[in-house]
Amino acid sequence: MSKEIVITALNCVAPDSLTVNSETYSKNDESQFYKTNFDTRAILGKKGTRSMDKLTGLTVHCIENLLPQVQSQLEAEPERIGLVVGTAQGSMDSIMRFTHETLAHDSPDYVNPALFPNTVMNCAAGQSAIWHGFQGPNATISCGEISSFAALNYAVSLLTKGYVDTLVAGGSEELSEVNIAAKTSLAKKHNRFAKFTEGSAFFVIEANDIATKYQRPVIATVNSVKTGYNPVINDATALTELIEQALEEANMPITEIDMISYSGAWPQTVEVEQLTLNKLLDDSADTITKIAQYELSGNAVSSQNAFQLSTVIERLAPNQRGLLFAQDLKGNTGVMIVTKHGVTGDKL
Amino acid sequence: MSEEKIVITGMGSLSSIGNNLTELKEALLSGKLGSKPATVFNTEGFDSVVNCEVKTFNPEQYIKYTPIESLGRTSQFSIAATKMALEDAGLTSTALKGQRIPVSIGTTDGESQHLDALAKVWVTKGLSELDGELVEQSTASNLANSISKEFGLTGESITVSTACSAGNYAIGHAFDLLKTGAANIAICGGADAVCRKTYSGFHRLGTIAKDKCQPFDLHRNGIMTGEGAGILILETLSSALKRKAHIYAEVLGYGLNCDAHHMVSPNMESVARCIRLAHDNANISPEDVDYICAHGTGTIANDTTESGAIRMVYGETPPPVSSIKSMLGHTMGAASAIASIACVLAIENQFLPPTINHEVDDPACNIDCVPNKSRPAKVNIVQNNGFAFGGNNAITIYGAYQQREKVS
Repeated sequence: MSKEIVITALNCVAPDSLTVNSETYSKNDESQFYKTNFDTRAILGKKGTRSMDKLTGLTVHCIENLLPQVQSQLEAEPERIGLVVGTAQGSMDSIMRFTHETLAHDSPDYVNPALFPNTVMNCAAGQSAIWHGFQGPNATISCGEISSFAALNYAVSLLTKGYVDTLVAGGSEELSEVNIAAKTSLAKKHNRFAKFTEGSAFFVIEANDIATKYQRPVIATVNSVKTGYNPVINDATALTELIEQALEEANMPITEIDMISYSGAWPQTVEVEQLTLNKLLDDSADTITKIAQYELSGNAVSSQNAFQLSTVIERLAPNQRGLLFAQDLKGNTGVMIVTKHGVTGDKL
Repeated sequence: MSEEKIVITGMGSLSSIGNNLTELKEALLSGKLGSKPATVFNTEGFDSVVNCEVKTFNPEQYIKYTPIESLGRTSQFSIAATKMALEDAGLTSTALKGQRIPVSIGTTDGESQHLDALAKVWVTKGLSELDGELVEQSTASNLANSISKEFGLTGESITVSTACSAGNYAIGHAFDLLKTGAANIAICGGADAVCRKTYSGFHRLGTIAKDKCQPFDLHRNGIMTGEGAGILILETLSSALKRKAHIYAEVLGYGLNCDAHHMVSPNMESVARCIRLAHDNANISPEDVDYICAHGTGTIANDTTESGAIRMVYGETPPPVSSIKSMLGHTMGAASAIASIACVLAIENQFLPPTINHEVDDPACNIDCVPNKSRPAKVNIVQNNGFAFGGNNAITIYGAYQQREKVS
């Protein structure tokens, strides 16, 4: 990458089953759906939250906890800070509920118009900008279970080209009534008892000189981030090539990687991810730590890669390097390489 | 080292005013009206719904490798417009297969008709009866993914869900990917299908026009919902020249910002700032711009804010500003992509698309909206506005390739 892009802050809102450096809430252990007990109005207050759905609430809140890191910049140049939200479908609950209401009553006009803006997929990003005053580029990226890698990749693209100084980028996923029903039907279709997780993870990401300007200590360098598509989803060639390109961009042989994280979300995709690992690593690489995020925290869909990144950053020792990758059921692929810096502090 | 120029070498479009590029051009020149009574979404409970639907669409005509029944209407539009754009660019499927060509598609509602259908299942049978196949097909990423899959492409495949400015976002991202050398060719644009959810929402807000959309008119009464897809093939100049491809125009740059003010109401100062960002990125001045293709939805809030923002940047004599939404309705995430194609056609054919249905100038707007009839004009540089819920503004700038070459 032509500029050194770094991560200077992160925050994660997730159920307490998630072993990342997170602000935690207790999980609902009645089912395979690991929900936070996040209550939008209790956490964000009653003003401006009457119509807010959970996806937007989680996003606004997760980002709120990053504000102290960027406050002076936000006051000086709000137009130079932006936001990139990875979300596979926005709030599917808000979208389908709105249509449901048009069908369930005597007139389709018996719907609450205040809920209509929740039905656009960029609601979480737009509301977060309103709440926190980010006037820079504001993007919403949908790429299935690779949505967070895609959001981070999009963020790096904007930063590299100088459209903005600093971006808050990551992903959000809600487990509301409709989402649970939809994911249940998906698990049924794929003949699997699946664990799904909700939550949100966001990162402050910027060029190194901006981090220096605002005196933000660097947590990790982003050596590469790429997404791609695998048209033959059970073949490992496309994913392997994508990772090789990332290693080349990072100028790192795989032997210099200390930790590998993959999504591990579905039996079919785990198979491709494992095949890819076998292609990339020879027997001597057994010492590399490997983490399947699904085994830690289930499938967080839109947030899955953001949770991978949180986990890897937490577990890497200073100067160690992490390789993260994933493929989803649709063939979306993503990879990221990061180097941890020597940051110490409460959260790391 | 100066960066490569990025040019447009192919375009494909579907909308209520034409199922291919030639039909779109003729429609823009003649001022065709695309609205008809609704037939392709569930309108139960509404009286006489009029909207702007794609007519006589036959997916089998375009889709060769993907089972049609595995694709929602919006993905079908996406593939169809891509196929036309690739053919227009002289790129064959065989030449593309296995290449790392990026796909970047904007949308507001994704596979909206599938989501409508799932809501109907919920009402009639209950949430536990949702079909996993329909759920999988309804995910928004399918718009870009279905293109990558149909043409066997391995480059990044993202759907940009920034609502009604998403087409411009998606084009901007493809522009950046080519600028940074990540690829030589990119597929980008936007797609959306009409749906019950969006029609109901705008209807409840009282912003649906009864029979016609009249942007910048004193007697306007709202938007017409519409659907379609607009796909552009972006290419580095060196790649285009090497292939001896026809070069329609150059992408000069774009600007993005966020109002951070209100989910639904646009903000004039912020829109003006976005115009300036786009001009700076494209390295042009306001006086260079010959035509502005407006977001122009036909609501009071949009029209007065947009024309006010234009005047903030351009002063008392802005260039002509027209809204093609008067013809093809508001195609949501496809809108700024189809409008981008309209801009390129305006450059290629040296005319200004009209704002049809125009009766009385709205003095609050005070712009030349190219009323009712297209107009021959010198068109060298154009600005294409896209605004959205969430205050997501995205503006693209296009320029004539040959004329600019002569000037410089």
